[in-house]
Order: sequence, then C-alpha cells, then structure tokens
Amino acid sequence: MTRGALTLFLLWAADPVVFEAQLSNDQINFGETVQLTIQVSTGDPNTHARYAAPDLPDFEIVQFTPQQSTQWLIDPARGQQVKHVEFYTYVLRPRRKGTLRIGEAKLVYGGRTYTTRPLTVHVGGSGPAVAPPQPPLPELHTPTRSGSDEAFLDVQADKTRVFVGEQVTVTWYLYTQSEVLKYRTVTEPKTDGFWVEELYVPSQRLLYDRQMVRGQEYSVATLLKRALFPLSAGKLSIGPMESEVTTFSTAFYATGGAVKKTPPLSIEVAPLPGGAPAGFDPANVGRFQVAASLDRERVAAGEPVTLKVTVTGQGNLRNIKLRRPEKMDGFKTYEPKVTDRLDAGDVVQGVKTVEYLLVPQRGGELTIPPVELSYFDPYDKKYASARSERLKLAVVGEAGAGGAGNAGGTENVLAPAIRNLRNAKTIQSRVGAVLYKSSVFLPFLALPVGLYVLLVLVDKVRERLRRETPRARLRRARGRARRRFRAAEYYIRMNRPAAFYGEIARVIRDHIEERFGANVAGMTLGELRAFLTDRGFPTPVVDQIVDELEACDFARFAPTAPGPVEMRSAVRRTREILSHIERIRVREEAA
Amino acid sequence: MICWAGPARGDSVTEAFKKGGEAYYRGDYAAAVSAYERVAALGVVHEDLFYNLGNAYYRAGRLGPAIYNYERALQLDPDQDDAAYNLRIARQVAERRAADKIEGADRDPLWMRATSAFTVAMLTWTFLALYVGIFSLFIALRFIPSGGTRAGLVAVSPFLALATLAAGLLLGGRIYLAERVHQAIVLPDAVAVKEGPDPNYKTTFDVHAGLKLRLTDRDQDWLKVRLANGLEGWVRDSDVGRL
Repeated sequence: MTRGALTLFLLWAADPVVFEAQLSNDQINFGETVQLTIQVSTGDPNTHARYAAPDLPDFEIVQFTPQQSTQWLIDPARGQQVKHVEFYTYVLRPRRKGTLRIGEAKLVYGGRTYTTRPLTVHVGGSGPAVAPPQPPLPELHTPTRSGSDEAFLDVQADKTRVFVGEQVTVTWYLYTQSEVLKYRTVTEPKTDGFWVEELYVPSQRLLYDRQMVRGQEYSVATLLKRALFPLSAGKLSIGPMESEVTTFSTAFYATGGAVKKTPPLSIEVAPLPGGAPAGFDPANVGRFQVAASLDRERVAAGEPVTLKVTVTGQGNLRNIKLRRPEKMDGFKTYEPKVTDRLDAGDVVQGVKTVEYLLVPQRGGELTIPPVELSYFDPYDKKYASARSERLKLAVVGEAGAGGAGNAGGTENVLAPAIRNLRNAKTIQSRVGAVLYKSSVFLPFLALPVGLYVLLVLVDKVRERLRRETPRARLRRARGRARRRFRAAEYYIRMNRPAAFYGEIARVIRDHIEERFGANVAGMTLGELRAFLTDRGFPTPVVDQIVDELEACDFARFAPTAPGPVEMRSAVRRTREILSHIERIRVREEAA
Repeated sequence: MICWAGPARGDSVTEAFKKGGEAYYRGDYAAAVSAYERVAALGVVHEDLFYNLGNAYYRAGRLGPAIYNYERALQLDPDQDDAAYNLRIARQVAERRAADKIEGADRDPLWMRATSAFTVAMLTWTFLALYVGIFSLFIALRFIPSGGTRAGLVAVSPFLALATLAAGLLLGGRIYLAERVHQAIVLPDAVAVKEGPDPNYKTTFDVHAGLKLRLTDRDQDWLKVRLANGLEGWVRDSDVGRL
C-alpha cells in the first residue's frame, strides 16, 4: 500500500462521513456552464441519509445526474469496511453576470447534520447582463414500453409521417434504475430505405438525465441519434437495436449483462405532391438558398475562372441535385468539383459548394446566367425555387484555338495558365562542344597531378643529393675522375704533356679528397704520405701514390717531354691507384 | 558553347522563329508549332526555341510534345524558371487527363534526379575549379613548412577534398546520364506498350503523354523501354521523343 493510499484509508477510517461540494471552475463567461459536484460518502448504506440540494437562485439547472456506488475495503484491524458513495452532479448556467453564490447543501445522517461550504462563481465576459429567456426544454418523450424492467431500451422518432426526402430524427435511449456498469451495442438498427446522417454517437461514456416514467424515476441516456431521409414512399421500418446492459444489481448474477432490444418503429412516407416544377429532382427536399460568385471579375480570354455556387439551408444537402448551369455563351465549362460541410445539430443543415471551371472563349463582357434550384419545402408543403444572381465577367483579348488546359476532355482542370513565350534575340547560338569531350580535358586533369608528382620527385632527389655519405663522395669522385681522364686523353692527343700530368695529379688528389672528405690539395708529398699512412693505407700503396705524384711533377717540368706511350702508361697506373683508393678500408670507416 | 550559323541560314532561322511567335500570339498554335519545328529542323538547339515550341504544343492541346520540348529546354538550361514552371503545369494537366496511373512510373532514381538538376557544363567547371584548387593547396603546402598559413590550409584541405570528390561524383553521374542513359518522352496522349517489338504482341500496359521512359534496346523501328518502377515493354520509335 502506498503512503497516499494509507493516508486516505486513515482519514476514511477516522471519519466515515464525507460531504463536500466542488466546482469545475470558479470563473466563467456569461452564457457558459459550470459543473457542481457534491460528494456524499457514508459508512453504512443501510442507514438512511437525507440529502437536501443547495439553493441555486442565480442558476438554471441544465442537467442533473445522481450516481451512487458502494466500496469495500479490507482493514486488518477491523475486518471488511463498506463505504457508500453518492455523487450529485449539476450542470449550471448563470442567469446573470456578477459574483454568484451557490448555497449550502445539507445532509442528515446518523442524527447529525452536515453542510457543504458555500461557493461563489464569478461570471464575466461579454453578452447581455441578463440571460435571454431560454426556450422551454423539450418535453421528455414517453417511452413506448412500460417501465416494468429495471433497464430497457427505447426508440423515438420526432415524427412518423413524412414526405419522401424529409428528415426524420430518430433517437435510441437507454432507461435504467440502477447504475450501468457496462454497455455494449450488439446489433445496430437497420435503416434500409433511408439516407442516413449521424447526429450523435456517445464518445466515451453515457450521459444521463433523470425522468419519471409512469411514477418511477429512471436515468435516461441517449445511445444514438440519426437523421433519416426516406428515399421512397410507403411504410418503412426501422429495425431493432440490441444492446447488452450490465447494471449494478445484475452484475453479481451469473448471467451478467442482459441483452435489451428496442421496440419496432415504422415511418409512414408520403410521396411528394404533384405539380413539381420542370427540372425538379426528388432528392431536393428541404429549405435552401443559392448564391453564386466568380473568383475574378476580369480575366484574359482563354484563362480559366472559377464559378462557385453555394447552396445553404436545411435538408439532405449531401444528396441534393443541382442542375448544371444553362449553356453559357462564350464559355467552355468542365465537370464541377463538389464539397459539403454540415453543421452540428439535430437538423441537418450546412453548405454545399459546387465549383465550375469556366474558360472564356472570346473577349468582351460575358454573362453567367443564374443558377436555379427547385425544391420541395416539407414545412410549407409546397414547391419553391432558389436562384443566384446573374454574374458578369470582363474578358480581355481573344482566346486562341485552344490549349492543353481546355483541350480534349471534360475534366475539371484547374491548371493555371502557362508562362508566355521567350523571345531570344539570337536563336542560333547554343550548340557547341562539350568541355569534357574536348581533347584537352584529360591532359588538363593530368596536369596538376603531374606537377605535384614532379615536385615530390625533385624534392626526393635533392634530399638524396644533400646527404654526405662515403658512397655519395665516391660517386662524386668517380664522376670527376671520368671527366679528368677524358681531358687527359685529349691532352695526349694534343701532345701537351704538362697539361696531361697536371690532370693526372688532380685526379689522384681529388679521389683522395672525396674518399676522406678532407682537403689534400695544399699538402706536400711528405704531408700526404703521413696523411695516408695515418688513415691506414698500406705502405706499398702509399708509395705508389707518392711516386706517381712525383712522376707527374717531374714530367710537367722536365725539359724532355714524355711521349704518348708513357702518358697512356701513366693513365693505366693512375686507374690502378684509384682502384686501390676506393677498395681500401680506411680507419675512419672501420671505426 | 558555340554554334556557327551562316548568314543566309541565320536569316531563315530568325524569320521562322519570329513567325512562330506571331502565329502564337495570333492564337494559331498549329502554325506556331510548324514555324518552330522548322527552326529546330535547321539544326538549331536553343532552350528558348524548345521552350516556345513547348508552349505552342501546350496551347495546341498536345501535351506529350509540349513536355518533351520543355524537357529539352531544361536540359540545355536547368535554371530556366519558365520552362520548369510550364513543365510542372503540363505534367499536372497530363496527370489529370490520364485515366489510370502506373504507380512509381514517373519517379526517377535519386542519383538521376540529383545529377539532372545541373548542366554538364556547370558541373564540369565546378569540378575543375575545385580540382585545381585542391592541387594548388597541396603544392602550396610543400612550400610552406610551418606557421599559421600552413595550419589554415591544412584545416581547409579536407573540406576542399570532399567538395572536389562530391563534384567529381556528380559530374561522373551527369556524364553517365548524358552518355549512357537514353531517355525519351511519350508523345501521343496514350501509347500501348507491347510485350515485343511488333504490333501483334500483347499490350502489357499503357503509358500516357509526357511520361519519361528509359530506352534500353532497339529492334528496327521499335524501342524497348523501361519505366522508373521497372516495368518494361516495346513502343514504336515514332511514339516517343528522345532526349
């Protein structure tokens, strides 16, 4: 048990009598209604409680609904507890503006008198200060069967003799003397031969009124209300409605709910009298007015315009037949678009709208003849006619031979006019090659990619060249040696020994420089010998290098010049020395 | 987009185009159609010509050729409001006229609708601009080793790359649509689509004026067509206008 429920139980257990009044709203506008609910809760259903309604001089009681129930509660300390609860619900409409008082209700129970607290309702808003006299409430119908049953169904028609097409309002009721716990419709009433409009179907729960039937008080609920329009003359029957009703007093019987059935109902339908005007349709029974209007007063020829015909009034609006407008000179017409809107209420009434699309075929002031509706008025029992006014339309220009909007059919084409021609000054200037098919398109696409790849490659090469490794130095040295040997060969051919030996000496020194990354150009031969020895060169190789360099110096400055044979021999020796320089594993590298 | 037209031909084109307009304003839509068709027969391809031709057909009550020519105008210039508006009107009228409707027959796949909203030229230039832009950015990044400019360029590069990719995909789709997807418009008010390339074959369904079809095969003067919802059949070549 939750804390809230426990509190309620304790309160209930402490004081078995609850008598209080509540308002649905304490501020309303004049003309609106307010609901007053008075709750009576007593502990013993067998003890008589006398209830006196509150004094309501400033209100009109629109509806009064009493309800009662019995609740059981198991109290571990005191055993089963029974509680009798009654609700008295009043729907009140104020008779005037101002702060209106709701008097005290009284309850006498168990020798004590209880009263509710007085309530006030502030009534404001627009409207007259005094309520207009309300029409007298319709006399409650008298059920067709006696009230011998605790609950029964009944059906009532507002009239049983009508003309074909005239509205009959039929209402199905439930009468009960006990609280209805469950209600279910088993069979809908058959209304063959009638055009049916639903007027009322209970949304969620049944709403009750009180009524005396042959000396007994009943709660009465409306189950269904329909407007029936007989489609033919003769005696038409309305089939029974069957419903399963479970009341408070039958709920504990094994059978549960009982199936109740309405008595039979017949309607005498008279044919329409003679003398119908020409063009009258038997479906047009009621009271109607007709109006017509155009959506524009001035249009261009060939442009569509909408003629709107509205029929308002009482009667079977959905079924009435409106004659097509007379042949309209200068217009082409199409099938109309029809819509209905019915108002709420017991009498079927509303507006039927018929929209015609008209296309003026020529210029000038064109006339739309009145639209006429002939009908039978069942209230006056005579035929009548309603007609719209004659309309005029100013049409500018002349329509052409036709158009898609008005060609080839009778459908209600509501297409607006198309836009006008375009007048290009030069019409021959639009064809051409498509860029993506051009021969330069793909090369152009490849260009940025190629450029980017080229940049990447150049960067890589430059990076590689920047790195100073022994291999890079050796590669560089070999390149320089090749160039110097080519020069030396040239000097042999030119017979220029001094220049030749100068090149040979530079080849050897360059190779040593590149090999070790050290400058040896300015070293004497002695210093060079020491340098090579320090770097781990074998003595024979050192000797060979130094000897060859000495030979070069000697040959450059000797009075007798060596011949080509000696010079080629020097080239061969030098290549051998370079080979030694490249192959030798020097100390720096070994380290 | 360049077209050469000699002076003599140019005169006759201008003259016929002018006559078309005069006939149209006179209300002689058949003559307007004839004049504009004469201009088209001279090889002129211009959105205003097709638009006017569409108008003349529409006024003459021939919805199929009207829709066909509005479509041609829009192919040349998808931004032309007038053609788009009139095409919508013509399609509405055609839809109301058609007694029955094939569900989903006029609903192109998303990629076709997306790509056909642009011209090939527009997409090509957009793609090229973005393409050059993204590679310029990459190249610039190789020369800017560090700093705020580099950071900004690096931040922009993913968006530029995505835009380039999207433009490339759209361009590819548009080129595919233009080169590989052959479409046509139904010209008569109603055409019976046959099961095979011969009038004796059974009619599988009917198509109505203005419906866009995809051409998938050909057999002499019959074309195999496919609707957007997958329905297939054969129609005469003369019953459709190729886009």
